[in-house]
Amino acid sequence: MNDIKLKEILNKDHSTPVKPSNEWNSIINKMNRNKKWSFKSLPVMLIPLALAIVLVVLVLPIQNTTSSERENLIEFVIDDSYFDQTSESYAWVDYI
Amino acid sequence: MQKVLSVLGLSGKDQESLLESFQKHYIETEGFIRSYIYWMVRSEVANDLVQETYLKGWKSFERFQNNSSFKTWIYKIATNVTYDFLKKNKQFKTFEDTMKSPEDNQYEYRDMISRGLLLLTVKEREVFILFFKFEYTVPEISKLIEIPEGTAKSRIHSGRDKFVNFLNKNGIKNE
Repeated sequence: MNDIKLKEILNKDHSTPVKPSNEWNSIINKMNRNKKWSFKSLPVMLIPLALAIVLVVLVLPIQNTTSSERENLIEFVIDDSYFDQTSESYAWVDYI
Repeated sequence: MQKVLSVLGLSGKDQESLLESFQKHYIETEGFIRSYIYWMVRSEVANDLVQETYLKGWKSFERFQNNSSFKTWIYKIATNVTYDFLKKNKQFKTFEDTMKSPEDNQYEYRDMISRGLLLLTVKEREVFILFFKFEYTVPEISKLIEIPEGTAKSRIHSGRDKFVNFLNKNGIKNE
């Protein structure tokens, strides 16, 4: 089979996917999504918003607790129950 | 255009002309790039790969040197995108013709060409398609994909032999 015949065979297949009508817009949208993130691109208004979210999520739940709950919480955090729970490992001292 | 620029966070005359220039190149080259990618992967997924190619192109467009052809430059990106895709999607070693429709009388013919192309390595397929389908000359292929002419010729011949043997086995004899 010569090259001309081979080209003829390949050229009988005209299939190519149809170009999507909105392809350029899709590319633009993806360009927008793929923009590199930088501190410069961060709107200044987002910083107070982030602080407000931290306040709402972390600080307010603690302030809303009753005084007894708060005491329990502090006790739980501060109290070291290790010495209360351990058995006396040097009991032999009593026998001396 | 202004809306597009603001969406992309671009401003200024330089950026505007950069995007306009990129869009102009896209319009001029997308047909060839789509066809080339389709002949490499033989599936409608080619449209996704076209988008990926131009996205990657846009990311480095500022570094694009005008002393080389945009078509050559974007072709190299398309080839990398296609190679990556074929490497990651090994199932594409068996072509799935997603463009088949009930009234498609060309399907069997197209399927045979796809199966024949499957026998070629990706590098052979690339050169084979450029030579036999897009009718590039050997020096043009050599320049486009930056390989010696001897290497291009050798890939054309090995690809041709495999493809013709396949056609012969499937009833299309030498004429």
